[in-house]
Amino acid sequence: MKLFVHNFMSSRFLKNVTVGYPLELVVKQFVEKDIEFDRENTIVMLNKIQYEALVVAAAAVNQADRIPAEQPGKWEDLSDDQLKQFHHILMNIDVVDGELICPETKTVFPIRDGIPNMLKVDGEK
Amino acid sequence: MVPVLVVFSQSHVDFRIPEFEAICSMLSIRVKNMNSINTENHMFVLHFENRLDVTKLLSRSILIKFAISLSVEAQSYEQLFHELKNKPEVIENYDVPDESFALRFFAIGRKKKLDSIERIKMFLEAVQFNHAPICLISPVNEFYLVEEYDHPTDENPRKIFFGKLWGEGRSELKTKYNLRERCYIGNTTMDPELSFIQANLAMVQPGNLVFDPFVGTGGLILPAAEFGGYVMGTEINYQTARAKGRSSRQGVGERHESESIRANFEQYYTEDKLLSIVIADSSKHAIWSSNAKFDVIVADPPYGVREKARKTVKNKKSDANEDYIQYQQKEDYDLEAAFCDLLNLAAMTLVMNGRVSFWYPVILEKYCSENLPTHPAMELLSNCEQPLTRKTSRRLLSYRKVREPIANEECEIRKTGVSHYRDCLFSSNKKENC
Repeated sequence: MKLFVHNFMSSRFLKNVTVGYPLELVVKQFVEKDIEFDRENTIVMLNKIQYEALVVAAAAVNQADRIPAEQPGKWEDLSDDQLKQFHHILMNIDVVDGELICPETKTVFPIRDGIPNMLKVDGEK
Repeated sequence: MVPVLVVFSQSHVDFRIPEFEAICSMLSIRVKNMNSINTENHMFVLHFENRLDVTKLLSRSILIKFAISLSVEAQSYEQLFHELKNKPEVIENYDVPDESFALRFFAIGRKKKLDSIERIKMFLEAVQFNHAPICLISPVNEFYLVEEYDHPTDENPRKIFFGKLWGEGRSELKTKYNLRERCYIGNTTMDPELSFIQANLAMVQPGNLVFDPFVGTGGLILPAAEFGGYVMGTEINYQTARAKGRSSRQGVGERHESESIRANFEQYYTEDKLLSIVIADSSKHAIWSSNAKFDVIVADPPYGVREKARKTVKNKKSDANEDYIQYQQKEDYDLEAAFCDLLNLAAMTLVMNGRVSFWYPVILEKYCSENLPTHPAMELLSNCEQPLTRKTSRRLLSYRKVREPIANEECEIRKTGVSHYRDCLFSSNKKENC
């Protein structure tokens, strides 16, 4: 699972969960790739992301220092070098083993072999 | 405007015009007489603005065989040779010692008793190349002599065309992605040719975010990745998502360890484009956060015949103790509800002008346009039919999001049709349902 995907997912489908976003992320194993950077595509992707969740994802792989804590003004104004840092977080990091956790109920969704399993029982607690 | 002879494949003719229009629309290609394309003939003289547009079109089209820059169009060989004499530049421009050439013959509408070598000889006797060397394997310039017949039994062609080849379509992709050699396939993996046509109808472009909510073994997102999209998919079946269990290949038994959806992407060198496969229930839309926006959704939902249609439900009581891992229970998913959910999902999660394209099974006898799912925020772009059995077919429906849905707006199927699909397929002809 590329870190980008974390940005799109919520646990709102669980019972009694109202926001369910961003999901907590525990990364036990990940691989770093070198995927070709494309300025236009990166800006399009960044326009879709929710920044606070991106910071959560970057912190989960101990790379929060690559990106600013606060969302920069306009993506178009950033230099290629700055955008490449975002590209790295979004596209180059593939989580192999870990967990997505609902921020409200703490329900754990395991990630194994790079595939998150969101079909966990929501529990008749 | 330049005249171009466009030769189409004779298979999947119902997809021909929508594929052509979709590619032209996404790549801003203008064709003056686009509406002269029909499904009865297979070759048309179309007027393009420039060669680049033709190249762009060919870079995506699965159903175009090749395109020829039309130099001469005639009713007879006499007339053809006469016109070539009046336009010597057609040949002279390419009749140079350092540019090899080939002349090929192609006939449409009649195949029997045509001697192509005889035709080529006759042509080269009348129209002479004096300098350019012949090269049949990799010529610099490739010329085409094309005959069009009205009826298979006609003695003489209705029209004869001559021109230089500008390029071929992408039909080689169906060979490259053939299922026999694909690492991981399932029971209902989409035919590669149709999967690429679907990527065209959905107008997948480089950098697009493409999502398949019923991803299976990835058969629909592989073409999207080939065309430069970033792809992801959800699958409710744990075994399918992880490529475990019995293989769909006859006589193979258990699936091999090396099989996986990712391995398919690696096989075609597009693994960079795979964002993730997620095990999830696509009927639960709230798995997506409010900022989740896709450019394209492609889908082939299970029809409940060769793959079961399932969704998750609240677990019923079980005696399992706490040590026992409890998996979520699933139940059958009504077909029409599944398609409505899909169109609702598209209305919610697509960007403006985003496209959704999915296969929709129909019972031929009952089919009418009221069977199709509609949504006020979604405009139907195309509806192409692929016959399946004597009683059934499936239609590839493509929609475009025209506005954000307003509260309570939902997909509607005005007249029920698909819900009896399974019953219809397995019932005798006499049965009431069909």
